[in-house]
Amino acid sequence: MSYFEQILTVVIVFAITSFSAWCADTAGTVKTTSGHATVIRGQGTPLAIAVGQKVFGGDRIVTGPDGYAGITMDDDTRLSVGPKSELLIREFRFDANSNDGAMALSFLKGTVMVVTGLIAKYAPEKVDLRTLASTIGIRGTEFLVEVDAKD
Amino acid sequence: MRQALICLILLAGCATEPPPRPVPERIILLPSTDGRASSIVVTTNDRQISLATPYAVAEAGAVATATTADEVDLRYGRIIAMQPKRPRVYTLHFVFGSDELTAESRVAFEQARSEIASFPGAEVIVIGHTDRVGAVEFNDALSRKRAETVASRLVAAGVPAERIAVAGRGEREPLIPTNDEVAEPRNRRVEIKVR
Repeated sequence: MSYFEQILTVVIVFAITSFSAWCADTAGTVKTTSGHATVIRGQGTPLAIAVGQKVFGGDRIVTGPDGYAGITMDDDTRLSVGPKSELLIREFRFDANSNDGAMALSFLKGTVMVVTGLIAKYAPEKVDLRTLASTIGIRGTEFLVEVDAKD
Repeated sequence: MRQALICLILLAGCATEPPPRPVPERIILLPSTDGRASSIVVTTNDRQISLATPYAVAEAGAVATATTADEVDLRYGRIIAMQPKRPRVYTLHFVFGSDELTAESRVAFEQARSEIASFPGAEVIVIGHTDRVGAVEFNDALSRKRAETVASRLVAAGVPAERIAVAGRGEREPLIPTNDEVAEPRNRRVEIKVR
């Protein structure tokens, strides 16, 4: 077979698989949104997010003064991003066959509520959470982070 | 002479960098939904604050205080209300040696299928498990095949295939821990997770 025929064969085999073999690319899915809530991907312009949309490692979630975004990650971690906030998904990978994975988030601005999922349950050391000034080590599950708190 | 010295010192004082203002931030531990103990450790400039009780607060990495459920609800109520729904898991068992679901599992299957509509942007993850009879690799493949069987039934019942992902955990996550090669029907199961 020529080189190109070999490549084509591989592509066809993948297409036949009827259910998604665990897709390693996506990090999570948007479940709730309200007001001005966007995702910035790479050097792109902010795109309004929609329920059901996938998010990926490297994505930046940015909300306006009235914006909210709720995201469930592929390991069941739940994030709720409040107004005037910025959350960076630095890294995410999870394999549901082995429960192996890693998650790295940066809370850059505003307020985010986090309910951790399976990566924190099975390998809390693989969860890397940072604000501008702090790192958060997990032994448990639910917490709120507010950066630039004004009282 | 003395005045000049004081000036120099003052100037010297001004010339050095003031210590960086702590970035205003607040980290609050919330009560866990499953009631299990949880704690987090906040590390800021080598200072560590451990939060181990619900509503404990770390302020700017320097101060450990506490808030209350009412204050949290007042300040963050909308953010908490906008969090995604908690995933729900339905566990199905098969009649021994067959592809048929038990009577209870047929009910659970129906509940899972109808629950999907109540999850915005729903995803369905079907995860197969086996007991420890057989080789690890064999059970990996068998558990995945069981998951695919259930996934096919969900599609036949109207769930779009693109919403469904399958996985096989093999013998790695028994409900009832056993020794190797011990048959345990309760471990032979498929979970439908809706989120």
